[in-house]
Amino acid sequence: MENLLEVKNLQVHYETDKETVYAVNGVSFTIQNGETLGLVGETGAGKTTISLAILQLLSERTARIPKGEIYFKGKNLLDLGEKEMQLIRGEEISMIFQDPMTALNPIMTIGKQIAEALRLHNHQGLSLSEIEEKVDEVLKMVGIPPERKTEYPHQFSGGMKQRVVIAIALACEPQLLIADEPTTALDVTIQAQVLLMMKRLRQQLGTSMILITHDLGVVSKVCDNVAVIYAGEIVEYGTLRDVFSGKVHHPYTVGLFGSIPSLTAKTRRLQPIEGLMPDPTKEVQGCRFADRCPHVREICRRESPSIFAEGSHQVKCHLFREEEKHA
Amino acid sequence: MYKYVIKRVLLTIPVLLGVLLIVFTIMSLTPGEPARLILGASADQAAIDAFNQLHGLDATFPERLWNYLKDIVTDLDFGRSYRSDKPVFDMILGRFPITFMLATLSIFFSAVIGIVLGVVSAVKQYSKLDATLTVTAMIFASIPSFWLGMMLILGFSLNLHMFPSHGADSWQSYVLPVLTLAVSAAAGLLRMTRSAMLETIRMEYIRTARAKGASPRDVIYKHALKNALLPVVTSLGISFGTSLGGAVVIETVFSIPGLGMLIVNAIRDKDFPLVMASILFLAALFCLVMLIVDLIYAFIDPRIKSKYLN
Repeated sequence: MENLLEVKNLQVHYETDKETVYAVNGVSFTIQNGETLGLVGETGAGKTTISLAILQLLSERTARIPKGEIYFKGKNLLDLGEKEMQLIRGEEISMIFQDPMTALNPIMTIGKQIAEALRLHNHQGLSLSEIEEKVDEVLKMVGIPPERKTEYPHQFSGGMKQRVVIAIALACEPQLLIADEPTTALDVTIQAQVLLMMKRLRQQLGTSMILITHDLGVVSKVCDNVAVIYAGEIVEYGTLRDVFSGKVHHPYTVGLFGSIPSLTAKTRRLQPIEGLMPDPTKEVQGCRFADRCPHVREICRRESPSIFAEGSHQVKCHLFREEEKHA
Repeated sequence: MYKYVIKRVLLTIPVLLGVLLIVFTIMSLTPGEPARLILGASADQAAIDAFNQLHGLDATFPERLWNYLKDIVTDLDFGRSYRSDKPVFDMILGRFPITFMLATLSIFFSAVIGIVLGVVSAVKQYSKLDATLTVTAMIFASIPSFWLGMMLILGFSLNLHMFPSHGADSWQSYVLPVLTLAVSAAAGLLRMTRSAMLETIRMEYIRTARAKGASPRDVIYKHALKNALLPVVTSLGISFGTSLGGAVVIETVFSIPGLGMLIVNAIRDKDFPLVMASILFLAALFCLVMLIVDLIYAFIDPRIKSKYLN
């Protein structure tokens, strides 16, 4: 089966006069039709940069992609021009942004903002009234009464705004949806509602999704596959079952699970991961997690770890090297 | 909405009263007697006393203020000019069209030039064009308008004989004064528009629009410009007020018989009623322009509109 999206060894740097930020350092993953991949990692790990790179919406002035390929339905998106990307954005790949409060144009009615997406990709030559009908349909789909389409974003609550953002993203029924922390800005009760709705709509439309989040709870509810990202690298990658209950784990993944509260565990305190991510403006020799790793060894500081694979499960760590296991 | 407009119109009354008090006090504090200035240095004491009595200038400050206010409130009478003995508003309205024309033309040109170049400058940020425009704007914003006016007269009137150096007889006489006023206002607007645009194109909803598949051009004209214009509209209103004031200077430089010249001469004569009425007129006009700006604002921004409606 052909992959819908295949990212191969992607690197993204931000270059300014003063310094170079190594934001994404050789990331590879694949997504098949109908599948959901969770990109998990802390703030600044490069999750948003990856999604903007897929859509080719990185800042033209500072961002560079020195290496890597992004294949979408067999075409390398990095080879496409702006005009060709415009046809893909919103129609085949669309994105939901983190903060619904700022993601909508404050002086345009929500109906017009949804209609804009439909108008830009109007291949069937729908008339204005047909587009309006489609807007009503999309609004009903996300649970907003169509009468409210003449209202402006400030007349909606946060959760309702996120529904509008989702409506814009799904208006053209894209094959791939990139959701960048879609629930982070919402309160918990609304989070569950929005997630459930996204899951239902995706099943209805058969959309694949990249879900960017730092919330492992959300991942366990929605995703098929999980990639754990640390300092611009995928350190652990596998199916939901591999990452949540597999036998071997990257020490960073173990740390991530240690820092969420559990109702059943006896421990009174959470176990945070000590330290900070390495300075992204410096090139690192060896493992990027070495400074924070409880199992750090001499080799970790010298050599970049290779991938240890067991079936669908991949871990990028020296702990599981072949010779270590035999020893 | 009507409620809001009525409220705003009523609010101009205390503003105008404040302006009236300040100008009246300053005029009374400045040295020089109107009688001496108008009748001439050779006038005898009897004539001066008669003049003072006729215009009520022999009364104390509070009495004069009271009489002035009383005439306005009871008869809407702003008095007659000491020098010409005509009703002041006849004189003001006779001169005003010229000044209004100057201010409107210069605002129109500065808005067109300033906003268009500001958008270009922001869209091409960090390019050579942007650098050139920004530096040029800074230079023009810092040139005093009276000096620029004199330089334009020197260049285009005295040396090249392209435009007249004074008067307001034909459209050609408006070219240099409008240019003088428009250049500095356009420079300010350019800088304003540029920074507002730069702020707006970094907003998240701009990225949302790009993610929908909109072209960079569509995004700038349909999403960014309208949002960026909000602060620009305000500054446009303020610069309309400033150019009414700037007209005073420019009319003097170009010897244009507008409201500005009228005020300058009235102040020189200490022509009390004329100065008071002219300044109140300008202040009222400024309030009106700001009200219009706020209404335009509500028209562009639905958030402000809903605030007014409540």
